[in-house]
Amino acid sequence: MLETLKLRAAKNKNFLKERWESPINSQYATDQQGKLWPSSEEFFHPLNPIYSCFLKKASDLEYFNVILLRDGAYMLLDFFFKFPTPKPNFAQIIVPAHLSFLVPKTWHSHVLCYKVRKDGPKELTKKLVFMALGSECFMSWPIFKSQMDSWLEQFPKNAEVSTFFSTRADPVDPDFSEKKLTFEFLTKFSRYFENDITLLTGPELKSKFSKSENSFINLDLYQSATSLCSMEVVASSSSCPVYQRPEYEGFSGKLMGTWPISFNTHFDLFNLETRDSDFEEMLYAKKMIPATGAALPYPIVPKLLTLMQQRISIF
Amino acid sequence: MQKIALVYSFKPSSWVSCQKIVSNLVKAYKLITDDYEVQEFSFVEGMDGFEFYKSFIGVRDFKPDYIIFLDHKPHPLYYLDFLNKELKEISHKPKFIFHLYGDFTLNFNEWSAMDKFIKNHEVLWYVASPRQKNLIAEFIPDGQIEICPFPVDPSEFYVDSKIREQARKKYKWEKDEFIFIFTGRLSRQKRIHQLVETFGKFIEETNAKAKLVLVGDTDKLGEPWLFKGEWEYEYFHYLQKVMDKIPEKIKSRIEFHGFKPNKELLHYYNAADSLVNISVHNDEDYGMTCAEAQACGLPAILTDWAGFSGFNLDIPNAVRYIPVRLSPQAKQIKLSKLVEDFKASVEGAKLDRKMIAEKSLAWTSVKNASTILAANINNLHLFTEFKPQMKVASQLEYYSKRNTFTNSKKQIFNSFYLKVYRHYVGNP
Repeated sequence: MLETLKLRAAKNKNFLKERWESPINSQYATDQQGKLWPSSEEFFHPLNPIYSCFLKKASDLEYFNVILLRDGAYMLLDFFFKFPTPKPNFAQIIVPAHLSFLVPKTWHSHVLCYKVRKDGPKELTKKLVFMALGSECFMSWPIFKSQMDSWLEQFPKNAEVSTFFSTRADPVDPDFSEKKLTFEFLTKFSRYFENDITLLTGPELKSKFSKSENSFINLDLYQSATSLCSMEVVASSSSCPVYQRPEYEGFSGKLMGTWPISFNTHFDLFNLETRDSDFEEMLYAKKMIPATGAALPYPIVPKLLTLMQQRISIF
Repeated sequence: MQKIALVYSFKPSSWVSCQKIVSNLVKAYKLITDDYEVQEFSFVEGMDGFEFYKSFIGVRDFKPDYIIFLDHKPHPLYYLDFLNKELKEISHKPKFIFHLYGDFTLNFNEWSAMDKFIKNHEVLWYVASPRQKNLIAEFIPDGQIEICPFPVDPSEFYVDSKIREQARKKYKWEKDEFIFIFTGRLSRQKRIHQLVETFGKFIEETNAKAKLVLVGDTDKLGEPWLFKGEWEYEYFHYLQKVMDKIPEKIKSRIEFHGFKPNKELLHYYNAADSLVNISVHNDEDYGMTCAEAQACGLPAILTDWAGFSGFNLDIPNAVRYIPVRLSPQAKQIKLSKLVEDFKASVEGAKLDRKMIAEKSLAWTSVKNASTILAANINNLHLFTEFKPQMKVASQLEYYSKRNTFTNSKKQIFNSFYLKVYRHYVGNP
């Protein structure tokens, strides 16, 4: 099956190869992707990693042979709301295994799953580099807030800590309101760790990966923003350890094969077999809640967050 | 006592080789502190306004006799733009020294704009290799340019047979296995795809007991002046395709070790038997990996290109050169010579590594760099203007939107590229 996938990928119109001339390219989608920067930095792979905000209509899905979705939970659910049933000419879709419970039953035979695996040292060092997209929903802050204290206990208090905290416009929250997220987050960090926290810029974050004494930890633990974070991929291809992503225990797909992303980092590819299938319930919830006339977020966000908390263990 | 202000980025460059270059240059300058008072001032890309102000005001208040720019980024123009005004107000006229890097040709507008700030000052321009000097002399008056190699710290790179033994065990290389090593960015312009392919052919022809080991990660520089841009990991997957064409039994002779921290390179260089680097990168002003590898006693196979030509030692076969030919369409490497050199390296007599290291370090060590710096510090020249070619270059850069060296219609090198970069090619 991996050979079939490779053949399809070899004949694929790769999105990046024709990035700005691609029929699926749009300013809106590029902006949406930009709000997830630096997680959403583009990188080349024959499996065609794309965010689903570029896929607006059925013909977009027929344009490619293979698409690997980089979406986090929000965008992935939105994708399946838009396309609840696959068509025969649709591209082979590859979704993150951790979020396979969001795949509609109608899609199960049309979808493969991926996990990202890094070779090399797994044990974290004492120089910790945390990265977060500073938005409440993308840090799953409403649920993570209450778990953060116990989650932090796995790290040595005397660790040297740097953080990259990107405060960007929240693409799923159309309302302007004051957000205290940055301060709440840094307060918890400062209370736990003994040493001062160093705040990094984007270039400073990247320069950390060239030193194996640094360990990288992506704080989007529930993968709400993006399942395939560029910074994690870059960190993984370097010699610095990367915090293991939490698993969804209900996933039981069979390993089909491995495809390298870079040195030391690979996609493990699986067929889709999952204990839970929650899409139908989410779709029902979406239909039941009266439309507010606002764009995203749907009022079902709290429901989705609760579901993620049930399915994905961060400990 | 005269005063020296060293201006450089206190935050390490994203270019790993430049991190070492700057820190070793600082070491070299500090060796001449007996005769000079030296202070260091930070100039970092993206530094905030307050830090920037503190820095150039600090230089002003220090009133140095020499202001020395050590780094390749940010461009000195942006510092001098503010410093110049401050210095004029206190009627202080320092001398300037600039260390130039391979990316000199990417910033003609900036260099050109700098002339008003250094006019009628005494200046000196340091380059790292003879061919770089020839290239720079297209734009800067010859007499003002001196060569000072980017130094190697012999305490960081040296010959050690114990390290060799341990490292070969760690990397699982057999005692009689000849190891060719490449270190650095795996880049299209460094012709890694050709290196891998050619090595595969060499093994197929000879079945020599040899390995090619590549230490480094891929980049996305592509070949910009041939309009060949690249995405992150695109070159990695290109290399995968190249590897897929190599027979299975030969694939195991090619090892990709990925990015390794600098301190591990000492182990790699001692464990290996020859460096191989067939780069034809536009920015190859020097070749820090060559300097470090030679400091560990490694013989080398190198393209006769740019800064690499400066590593020739007075020891037969310590460096084997591969000819390069320049045409509008491409920089062509004589790959048949590469195969010959692979063979000659494996079959040839073992060279005295300590002698290679000694001869190399006689030129590239921090101590020798310091001697050069001390010797030239009173050898500055009055700057009046750049050569007319600088203006041509800056206009070309501006109107072509920084595609200075491209014939964009045909997507080949333009005549200006051939004029400037001919200095990087050896005689056939």
